Amino acid sequence: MNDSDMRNLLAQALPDLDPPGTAAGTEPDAVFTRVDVLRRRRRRAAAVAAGAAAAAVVAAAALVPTWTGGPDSHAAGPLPTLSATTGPATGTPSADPTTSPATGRATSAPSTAPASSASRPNTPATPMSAEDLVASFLPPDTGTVREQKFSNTPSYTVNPYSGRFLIAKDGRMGYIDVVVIDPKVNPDQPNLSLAKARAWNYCEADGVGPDNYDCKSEDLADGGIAKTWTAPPNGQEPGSPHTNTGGYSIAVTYADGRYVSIYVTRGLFNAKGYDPPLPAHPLTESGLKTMGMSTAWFRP
Amino acid sequence: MPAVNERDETVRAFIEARRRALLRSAYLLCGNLHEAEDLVQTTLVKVVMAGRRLERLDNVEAYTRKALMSVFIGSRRRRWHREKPHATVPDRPAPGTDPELALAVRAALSAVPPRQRAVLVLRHWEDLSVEETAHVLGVSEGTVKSQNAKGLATMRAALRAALPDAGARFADPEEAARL
Repeated sequence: MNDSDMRNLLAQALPDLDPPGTAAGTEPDAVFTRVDVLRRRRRRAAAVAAGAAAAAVVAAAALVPTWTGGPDSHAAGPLPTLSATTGPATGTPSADPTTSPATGRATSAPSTAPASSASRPNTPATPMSAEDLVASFLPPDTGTVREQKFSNTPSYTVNPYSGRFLIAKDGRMGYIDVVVIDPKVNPDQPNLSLAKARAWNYCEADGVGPDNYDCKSEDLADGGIAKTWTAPPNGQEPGSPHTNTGGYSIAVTYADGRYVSIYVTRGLFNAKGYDPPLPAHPLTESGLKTMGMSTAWFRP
Repeated sequence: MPAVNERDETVRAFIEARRRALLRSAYLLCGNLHEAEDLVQTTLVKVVMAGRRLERLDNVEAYTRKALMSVFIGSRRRRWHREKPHATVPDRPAPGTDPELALAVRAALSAVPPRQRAVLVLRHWEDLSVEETAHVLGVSEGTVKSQNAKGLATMRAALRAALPDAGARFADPEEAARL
């Protein structure tokens, strides 16, 4: 069986695809209609975020440029929304390759942070810095933690614990994205209802893919809900300026409006301002659950 | 770079010109017309949405081929989408095809693991070189060669089993030379 035979054999396997109307979903009108739907969905997500900005102008503005999709838009959890007619917005963190990780707060070495879960701060008497708090959940020697500042976002944030935290070690770099909504810190900030959080499917296919998978849900003792999923690498998306290695996510929603969403990844290939990815995720799935379910993110 | 509408029109023309060829490749990959339609639509949606990054038409072509393979392999990676070999007769056989052979080839293709199948389609249907196939799939040329060899071996074995009377036709060239 030579190459010519093989091609002839493959031709035999094909059905008749020529009649008009065959695979109408691939016709230009159908494709552009689907694109319109997706673009509307993305605009709606952005608009919801903008609506939140109207209620909490300063706060929401900090997240929108960073959390509205992008090449690695499947990475982390959705930004919760207020609207009863829309699901959680699909805006997710994007490693904007045009923004370099600027010097953040003082580097927080994990070796100086509490390493055992017993010493993790669930209700710190004095608020820790965001970098220290993130570092406190990492195993020893994972790397140094530094918050990445985006040039296109204001210096203020919705919540002082929200941000992208670069984990650097031996010339490699992973990162952890954290979004925190705490009604005690930002009473005007929109929050996600428990019912909506419970119903939301983080693995729903959006037609652009690759989609998240391995979605799990866990009811918490205090009535909250934790959802975890795995974000696939997006490097196979051709033309993507950089490659996200994929990672683990958790979103925890409480009945009183508190919310924390965390995404952990080995990092990015070919992204300006980022070193090559770490050999392993900075946190295991169970470590991420511990981090996400901690109440240290919220004001006592 | 063209303006948005002009760019959309260019992509629209590209879709019209290429969609059936894509559909054929997609069908060979997945063995199901409805799924092939979904694969191609998802691929073309990516192409349209990536429009701003694709300045030249040859970029669009390369992007589209990569996207199709990426969408296909991604669909096979999901846990809820494990493949089961099947050999469904198409609704409308292509003119001039041998139904028995068509069935056997589809069954043989479905027995080939997805990545090897992608290599077979790119190498033998789309007529790409080893280097081009490696680029599309993001693997080394050595991987392409080995996956091609394994895929062909699986197909030959499946075809010989399905069509014992035509066994010699599907013999390994090296085996045939030894006979």
